[in-house]
Amino acid sequence: MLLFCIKCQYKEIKALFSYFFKTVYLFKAMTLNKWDYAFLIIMFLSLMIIGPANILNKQVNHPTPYGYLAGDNFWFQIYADVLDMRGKFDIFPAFMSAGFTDVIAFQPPLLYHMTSLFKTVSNVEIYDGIYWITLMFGVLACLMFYLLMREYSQTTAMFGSLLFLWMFNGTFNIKFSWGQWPFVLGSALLVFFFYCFYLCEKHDLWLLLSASLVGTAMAHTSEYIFAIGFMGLIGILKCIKLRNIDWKYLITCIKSIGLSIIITLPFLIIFRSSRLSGFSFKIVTPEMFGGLKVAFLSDFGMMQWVILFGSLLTIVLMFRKQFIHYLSSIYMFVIGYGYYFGLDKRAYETRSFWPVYLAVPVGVLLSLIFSKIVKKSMHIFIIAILAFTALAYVNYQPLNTQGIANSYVWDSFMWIRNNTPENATVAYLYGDLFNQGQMLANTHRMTFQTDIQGLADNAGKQFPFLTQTRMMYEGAGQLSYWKGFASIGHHTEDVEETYFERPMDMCMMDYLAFAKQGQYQQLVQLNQNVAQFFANKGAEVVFDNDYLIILHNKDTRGCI
Amino acid sequence: MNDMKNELKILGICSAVFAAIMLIAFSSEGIISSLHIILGFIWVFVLPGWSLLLLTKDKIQPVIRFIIAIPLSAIILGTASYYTALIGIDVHSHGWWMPLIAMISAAILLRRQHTKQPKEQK
Repeated sequence: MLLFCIKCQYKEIKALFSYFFKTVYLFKAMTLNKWDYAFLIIMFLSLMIIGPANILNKQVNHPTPYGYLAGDNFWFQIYADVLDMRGKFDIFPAFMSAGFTDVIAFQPPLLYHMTSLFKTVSNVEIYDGIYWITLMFGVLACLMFYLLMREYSQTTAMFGSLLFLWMFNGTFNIKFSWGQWPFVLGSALLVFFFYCFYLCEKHDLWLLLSASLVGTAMAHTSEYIFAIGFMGLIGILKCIKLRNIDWKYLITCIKSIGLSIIITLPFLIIFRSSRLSGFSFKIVTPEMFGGLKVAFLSDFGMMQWVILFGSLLTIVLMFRKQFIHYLSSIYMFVIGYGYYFGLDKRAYETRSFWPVYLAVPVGVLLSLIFSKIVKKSMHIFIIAILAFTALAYVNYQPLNTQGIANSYVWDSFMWIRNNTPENATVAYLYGDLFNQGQMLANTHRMTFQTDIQGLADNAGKQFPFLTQTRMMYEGAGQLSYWKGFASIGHHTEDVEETYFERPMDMCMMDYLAFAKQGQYQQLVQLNQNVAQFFANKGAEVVFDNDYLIILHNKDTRGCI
Repeated sequence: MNDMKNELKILGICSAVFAAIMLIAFSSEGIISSLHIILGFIWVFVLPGWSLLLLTKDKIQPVIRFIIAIPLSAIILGTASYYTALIGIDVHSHGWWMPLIAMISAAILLRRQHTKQPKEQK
């Protein structure tokens, strides 16, 4: 009896799925048509308005960095600045390398070179150009993923695109506003890779595939690893299907990966010995990664249910047809949970691109539902276009956020950069805006950030006292330097940890910056006392505005 | 020749649509400044990739080529700029001559492809 029931149900399920397949591919058409052009234009315009234009307050050029909400934004802006300053991306200057003058520029260089190229021809400032390019590539990723989905099903592509509207929303916007810019560029190029993979399968354009691999490696190297993993996965699936090795596919993989390695080898050697030297496979919880940055399915609101049901349907469909968009979507969905297999924070990072990757399940489910309700294809397209426009309108929340670099702070950085000796040292005492220390590197001088807790502990004491101080430097690459041919050493291993963070005598600093206002009145008072102490010692006020004051300490012999 | 005219026409339409959307979205930016940005973007991030993708014009549709020309240009020029700067050619001029080199290379490759095809047909 039980067997009979299972058998009956199996038949029903099978019939149901065959019905699904017919429906989902009902409007399948390979070439773009007028509906696609209309949809692409509406999508591009909507995404530009709710994304880049909204974040940048409808203008590209600003007098100061606009919309920078975290310190990381400034690191990437500084890398591009350094490239512009030096004319090449080889060595980091001393002010961002803890005083060392031989530290290798280890970061994937693509974004900074793109910014520099763009600055040359458009005259847009580095800090505006880098943000604008990143945002544009966020939009471009959506357009490219639409094209990929469109190669298989027009309705899936149109309905799936609804999820793109979450790209610039809430937690998903953090990748832009908190400065995960190389990741955004890398992910956009990973989408480009998926499309090139499709083109390579269809037209054997392996050079294009290789170019996309080079892009991911030079933009954000973890995406390069994911791309190669994807090629490996497809290879395994092909082997299972054919019950033999697909030699043509294998040769294409070897050619495209091989060429990409040859082109990027000098950079990969640097990256392997610097940034990757601190990497190990480990399981990291969302709290350890910095809870707010991690995106969850619940961030999609009601849409999470569409994603979940759509994913189940996509997985079922995937077993029947190994379409590239199904596979890439489910692959990146699984990568988002990669912390279970040791991918560390790189797994969480990919989640902020879920509004792109998970467009497939949404598209599959919604196109199925709507094609059941509405019979005429034209009506379905109109519904998709109207739904996109309506959701874009609902999702639009004007931001108008200047960010943490207001004109007072920015002017002080520029003053220091233009009016102090290159080897000058600058200490920043209490100031709410000085919290995001990476911003201080815009002075292009060796800067020291005082520890707020350390200052609070000493608030009642008579100055001078030793102040817990942190040197601002880029430590992610372990301060790597060339020891010999293809041999890299790390300054972080050559010096004691106290070199970077220790109690210091403020009297030994050339310049001292104090905030005049802040959240903690007790610390503002302390700032005033310290400033008075230095004024009595003969220090000169060299910069003064409503937010901060800078003193030039002429006697740097020390007080303690 | 007609083919090329058609390609240029589509490039013009796509660029005009891109420019119109940019002008609408970034309405607070001045018109001259916006046009400067748009033309700069097309020069650096569209034309190099677009001209190279002409080699695949029988396989990929023109509008798709326009869209994927952007990442392709970024990858080719960005990577070339990185290595060129490392060997000592200052980065500040790359934005002007690198797209030109890419377009000239594409023209040479296209011509070669064009002359090769009739021979193969014979």
